[in-house]
Amino acid sequence: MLVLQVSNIVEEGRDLVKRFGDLTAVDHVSVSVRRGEIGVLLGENGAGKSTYLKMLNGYLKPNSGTIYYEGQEIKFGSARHAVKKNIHTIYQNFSLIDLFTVKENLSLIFPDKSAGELKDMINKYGKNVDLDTRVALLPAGVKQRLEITRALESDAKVLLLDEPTSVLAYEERDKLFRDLAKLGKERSLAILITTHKLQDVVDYCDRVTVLKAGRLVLEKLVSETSLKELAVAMFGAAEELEESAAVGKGLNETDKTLEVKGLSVRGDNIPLAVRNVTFSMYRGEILGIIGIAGNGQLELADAMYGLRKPVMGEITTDASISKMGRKLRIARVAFTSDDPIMVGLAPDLSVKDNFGISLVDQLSDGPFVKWDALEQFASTAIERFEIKCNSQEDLLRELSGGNIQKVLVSREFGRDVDVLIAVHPARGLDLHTTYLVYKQILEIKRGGVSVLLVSEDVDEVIYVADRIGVMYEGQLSEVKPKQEWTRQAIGSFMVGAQASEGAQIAT
Amino acid sequence: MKIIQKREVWRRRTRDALLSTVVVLISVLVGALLVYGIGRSPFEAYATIFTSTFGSPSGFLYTLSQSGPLILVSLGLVLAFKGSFWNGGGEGQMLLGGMTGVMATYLAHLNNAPATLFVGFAAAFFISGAWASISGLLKVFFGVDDIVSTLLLSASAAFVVFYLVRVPFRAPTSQNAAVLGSVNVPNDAIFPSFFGINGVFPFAVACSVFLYFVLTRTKFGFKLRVLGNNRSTAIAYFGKAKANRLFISVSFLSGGFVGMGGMAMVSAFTFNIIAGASGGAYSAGGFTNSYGFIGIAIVFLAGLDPLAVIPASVFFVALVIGGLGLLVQLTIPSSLTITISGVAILFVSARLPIMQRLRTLVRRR
Repeated sequence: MLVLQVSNIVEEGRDLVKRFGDLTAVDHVSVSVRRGEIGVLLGENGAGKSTYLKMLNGYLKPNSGTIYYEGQEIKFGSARHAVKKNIHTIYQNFSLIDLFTVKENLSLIFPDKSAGELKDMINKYGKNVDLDTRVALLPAGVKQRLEITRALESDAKVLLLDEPTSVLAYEERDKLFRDLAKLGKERSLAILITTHKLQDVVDYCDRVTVLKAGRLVLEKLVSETSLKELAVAMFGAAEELEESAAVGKGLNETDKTLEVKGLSVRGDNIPLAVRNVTFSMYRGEILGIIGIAGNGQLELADAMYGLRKPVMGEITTDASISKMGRKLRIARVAFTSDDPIMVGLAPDLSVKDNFGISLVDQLSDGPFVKWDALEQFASTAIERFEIKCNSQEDLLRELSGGNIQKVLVSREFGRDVDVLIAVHPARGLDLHTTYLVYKQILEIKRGGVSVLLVSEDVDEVIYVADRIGVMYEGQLSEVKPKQEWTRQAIGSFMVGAQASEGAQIAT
Repeated sequence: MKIIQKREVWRRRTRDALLSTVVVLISVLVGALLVYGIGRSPFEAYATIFTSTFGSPSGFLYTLSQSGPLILVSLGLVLAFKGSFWNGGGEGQMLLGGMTGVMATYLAHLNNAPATLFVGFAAAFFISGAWASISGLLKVFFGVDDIVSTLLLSASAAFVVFYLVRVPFRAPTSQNAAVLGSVNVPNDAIFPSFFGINGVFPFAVACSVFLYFVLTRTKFGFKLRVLGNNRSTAIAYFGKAKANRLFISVSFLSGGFVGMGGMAMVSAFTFNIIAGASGGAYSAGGFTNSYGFIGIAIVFLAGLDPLAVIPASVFFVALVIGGLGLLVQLTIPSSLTITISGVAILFVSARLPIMQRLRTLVRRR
């Protein structure tokens, strides 16, 4: 796509590269932000969208490549430098002070304006908010609008929005984009957003850049592309699914381990993250639940492990477990996007200690920990998963991210359990280790464990799972054996486009 | 593998010990500058501090004996901080422990030294532990900040003790309205000395070893460390109820050890509790020596290791005793040694944030 109106470009990154240790988060990517346009960076989690945004706003320094601003090469000293150049960023978690009122928050930036002027300012951008409300009490959409107001009144020329729709309800989303488009035209504002929701792009944006694993895979005007093309760029080729290797044995009622009925779970930012979800799990079977981040699958996994209380519905253990007369034992491997060690590990304890966290009750003798047995377990796991550490006495936080993850995976995979809940077990691992993890999951399944695999990666679910269900906005699609799915059907369901494209093709 | 692990452990130990030594040296250097600043010889000052604490066998043993209560208080805080219970109320718990010890031994009339000591220490442990666990319960059930609640409850404890000293347990001989003393502990409750060293020191050392063992070898100690390092992990794998119970146990044990520190003070050195009316209950005869706060610095200087608490406590007690030596022999204000310990505290607490900042700087570039 040839760029004809060069003068439209306000800010531009050329050939930017950003590395974190061994990981290349952004690999020679050029993106420009244009006046009067809404540009979008599209990609899955970890594709490098946010990293790119943070280089454009000066928060991160690129390892190589240059940034041009209004035709001039520029090197940002800090994020503040970029703000002075009128480049404003609105993050997912807002930078408002929750305990302050709306007025106090705005007065921090505009100390000279009177209450009346502030009121006008807010009204101008279409939200009617009481100036004396505490920001903590406002819904996400209003907070976002406040931040946009703040940026515009500070004469923003470039507006960068990181995942602006992830916190919004559907109607709010529509309103946000209509207003952004209007503002863009009126004030010749250059806007760049990041998103992983295809629908956002197709409905509202002008120019799309698709990133996959840090590389630019597609750059087009939205009017010249289609939902299908974008989905293929994001998720890979539209080939048919390979046949499941293990011949799907009939699902026996007596093999049922867990039954989830009409489950609804509260979310952190939204009232209902999981809405009326029903499914069953069986021994020796892997159930894959796929969805783009923030569609409720994490909350579902948490509820099943007992970390969240369901609002409605129930989770019951079934035949095979109660027959054995013991409590259901569940292992859980979970990685959320930002902090892989939030739940499950203890960063300031040693590697050996970290193996003990879920094994200590199994590996103890009265009140004493059997350190020898634990050490044995740890060294086997370290060897099998090729965890790189000097010794088991290393503090966990001294290990690299991938190795930290391997500690949790190998520990939970090594437990004697009935149900394994694996949330993104292979996220961020290199290919070799990823396959190692898949092989282990398959082995665990053959051992009669019933596995719930929660994933954002279509390839992963297709490779590992026996039955697949797709989650979108808290609701679960029909759970079907994987032979009855196509990659594309999954992709369409994930972005909530099954209605518009009608892509539910059975093989 | 085994050998590498041992080496790794020792590497970390040496690094921590080295860091703590550097902190101590810096504070000593600052002290020297201060002495020089008031026109006195730093060498003379340090020589005096040294000879009055470690210079003679009897002085050395006295320093060790004196550090016994401080070790016990610090152990209580080690437990607390390992389990992320931010116990800022050591002062009150110590005072309460001392008072409970006085009351229990006074009322028990056992006429048997070991039994009396046991009753005194057990009562101190239980009452101070219960007092501290109020904060634990408040944190778990109502989310009340533990630093705030321990500090405030510390003040309440001081007033309770003030009342007990003034009214029901006032010594009959104590008629001075400004400074009142409680009854003395019976002779059976006085901790005996062996070869010039008071029994509280070996007792405190034994407690250190015991806690070291509990923290490194037992399931309880292990879970406590996990809870202290990452609460969400503990909740996820031990269950919320169990994690909460663990936290309350931590608060109880922490208060218990601090309370034993108070009892050790009474039983080895002061024999009663004095409440001064001037500064309200806070100045209960200077009974606590601010150990409840000094203990916090010691715990961090010792890197939360129960064994390292011993040398760190001896160092701080030596500064206190040496300060008196300075005053008596050289008429240098003893506040010098308070300054030295203050600088040490400053550097100990600044160490972590400074290293953190360096690390993030490196990561961002």
